[in-house]
Amino acid sequence: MRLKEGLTVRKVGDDYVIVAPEQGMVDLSKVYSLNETAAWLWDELDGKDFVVSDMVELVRNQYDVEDIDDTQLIHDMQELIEFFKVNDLLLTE
Amino acid sequence: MIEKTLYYNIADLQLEITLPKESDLSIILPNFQPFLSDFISDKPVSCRVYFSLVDLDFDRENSTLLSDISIIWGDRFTFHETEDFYWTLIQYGSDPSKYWKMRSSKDFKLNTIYCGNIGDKKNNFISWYCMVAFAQSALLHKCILIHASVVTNDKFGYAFLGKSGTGKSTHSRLWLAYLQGFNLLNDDNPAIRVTNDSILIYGTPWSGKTPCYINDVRPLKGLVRLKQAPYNLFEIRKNKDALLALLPSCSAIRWNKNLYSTLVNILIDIINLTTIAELQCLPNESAAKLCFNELNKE
Repeated sequence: MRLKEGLTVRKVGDDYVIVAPEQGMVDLSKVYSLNETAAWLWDELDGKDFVVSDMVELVRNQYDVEDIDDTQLIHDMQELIEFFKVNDLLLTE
Repeated sequence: MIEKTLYYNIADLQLEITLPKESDLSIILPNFQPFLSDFISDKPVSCRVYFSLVDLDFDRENSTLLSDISIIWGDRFTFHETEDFYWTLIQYGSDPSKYWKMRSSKDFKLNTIYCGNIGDKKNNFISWYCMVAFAQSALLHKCILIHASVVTNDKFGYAFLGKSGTGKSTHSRLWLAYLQGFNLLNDDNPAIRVTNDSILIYGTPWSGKTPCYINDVRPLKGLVRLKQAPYNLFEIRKNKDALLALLPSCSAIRWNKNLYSTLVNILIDIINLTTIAELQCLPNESAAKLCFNELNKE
């Protein structure tokens, strides 16, 4: 899978957000919030093809998560992917 | 055609207008008159507008319709993109095939307007075209036009945002009536400019229904989104909520990634440098006083 192109994570005060301008006629532009880990992951994954295990590996290398097992991490990453999907933030094939 | 070129100093940016020599812009665009200026060599010309007496050849077949929604022009407005230009069209008269046109480079720096004979009366189409062009081109100079009503005292400007009909103008008038030393700077479309570590708010030639075209500037004290309520409640907005308070009042064209992204970056600078708040309010004296006092708390 791949993240939708042309979207940038920005820091606004304490929050990380993605502003997605609507490209249709009616302005339904949206602002999404990400937590710090998701924001970091977005930057890492942007423009690349990736699978869940890539995300787990990235998080393992970046964060101190030794006491979290793979099952839990995979579950968390799948939740994030689900969030991207529901909000139309993944590139559709 | 013998032409002349005039310069208007708006938000410390220069708008350059070139038109037939015999046309009198003091009559056609009286709202621009307070902004008329000599050319200033050390201020950027952010936007050039050229009036063509010859119709512009719009290739509809090879264009994409981006929008046909305009609160001001209704069904008469369409906005298109071709390979090299944006086209802002307004149908005029009763013949649906006749349009006034503005052809703009993708950064809106270079604009050509065809609107038949420019005439010799006040022309709101031309004023609006210039606003569209100026607003988009100004983004690249860290300047936005924002839908707001603004009051000033001798120290600061205070801007009120909100959906149409919320009572922005009414709230400004409450400040003028019940707080000392305040005047209206602009009632619809002021400009905000981010400079090195400070934010300035400027009057512009565009002020909606209120003829208030004041060429003046103040440091911006705060931006307050108004909502009607049966009580008065002032709350600071930070972080994402501050962005959500500002975004609906701004108008970068969202089909242009570069301009839109620039707008969001400017808004983030504004959020970092000034107070953003929401005021749920009644149209009364205590709403104005509450708002003023909260914004001036240290």
